[in-house]
Amino acid sequence: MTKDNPAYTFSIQVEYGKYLEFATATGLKPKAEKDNPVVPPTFLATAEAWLPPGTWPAGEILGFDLKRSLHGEQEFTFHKPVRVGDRLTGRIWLESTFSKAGSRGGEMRFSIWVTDFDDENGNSVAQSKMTIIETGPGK
Amino acid sequence: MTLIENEVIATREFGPISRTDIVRYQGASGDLNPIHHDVEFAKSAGFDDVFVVGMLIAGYLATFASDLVGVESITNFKIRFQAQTWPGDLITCSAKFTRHPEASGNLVPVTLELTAKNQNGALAATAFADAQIPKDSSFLSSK
Repeated sequence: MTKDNPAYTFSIQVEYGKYLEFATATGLKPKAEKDNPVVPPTFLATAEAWLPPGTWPAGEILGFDLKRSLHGEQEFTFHKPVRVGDRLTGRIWLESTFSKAGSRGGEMRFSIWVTDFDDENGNSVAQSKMTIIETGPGK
Repeated sequence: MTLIENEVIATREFGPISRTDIVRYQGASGDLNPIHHDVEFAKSAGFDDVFVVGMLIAGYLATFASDLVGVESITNFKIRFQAQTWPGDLITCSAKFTRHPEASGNLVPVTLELTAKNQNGALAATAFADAQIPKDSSFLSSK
């Protein structure tokens, strides 16, 4: 799977209401709508709400068990600031997957999911990189 | 705040984290994994209770970093989750900073090294925030 052959492609509108809700939830003092505020560094976590309801790529593509899965790492890179009012296209793809023996027995499966965000002119704006780990069965 | 490299330059508390805080974040983010709000589901997965969604801790650290250096200056934010946090936990965030030499134009590149610990001092997450800060920013002039 690559950026040009993603698992999901979806459109995102960066809305002020969502910004306000997210800022409130994370203890950030929101800025006024008229200023088209820059969104906080982890705001693009909200992008998954623009996927069809219930979409979970690690489950659908790799068969990960939600009850045994953990969020290991998360990275956001910004080539330019994302602002309220932006319209972005997101493309999610599986960068890599590998396994390790778990400390409590069983196999731990790792998967690294990249989402590339482009603006309306097709320019790369931001990238999310998420590591999802499925712990071994019968921990 | 005194800016000394590789020493803690600021701390900030978030919480104690309530179940409402968890639900509010999950609603805001759209991540409705029931393991963070449905006790029966969490127990069926082998946990004693629901645990805090990691991205809420990430959000607190991101808010902390944004308030230090300015949200628009952050170019990269990377977090590694170290241990679960639980309803009622009080999170203390702390920051160290490194100033990089390769300044270009009016911008100074810095890295904030961030940690989030619970009330027992156990590490919940570590993170790095890279930022490009204007030379005349209040952050740099607080030295």
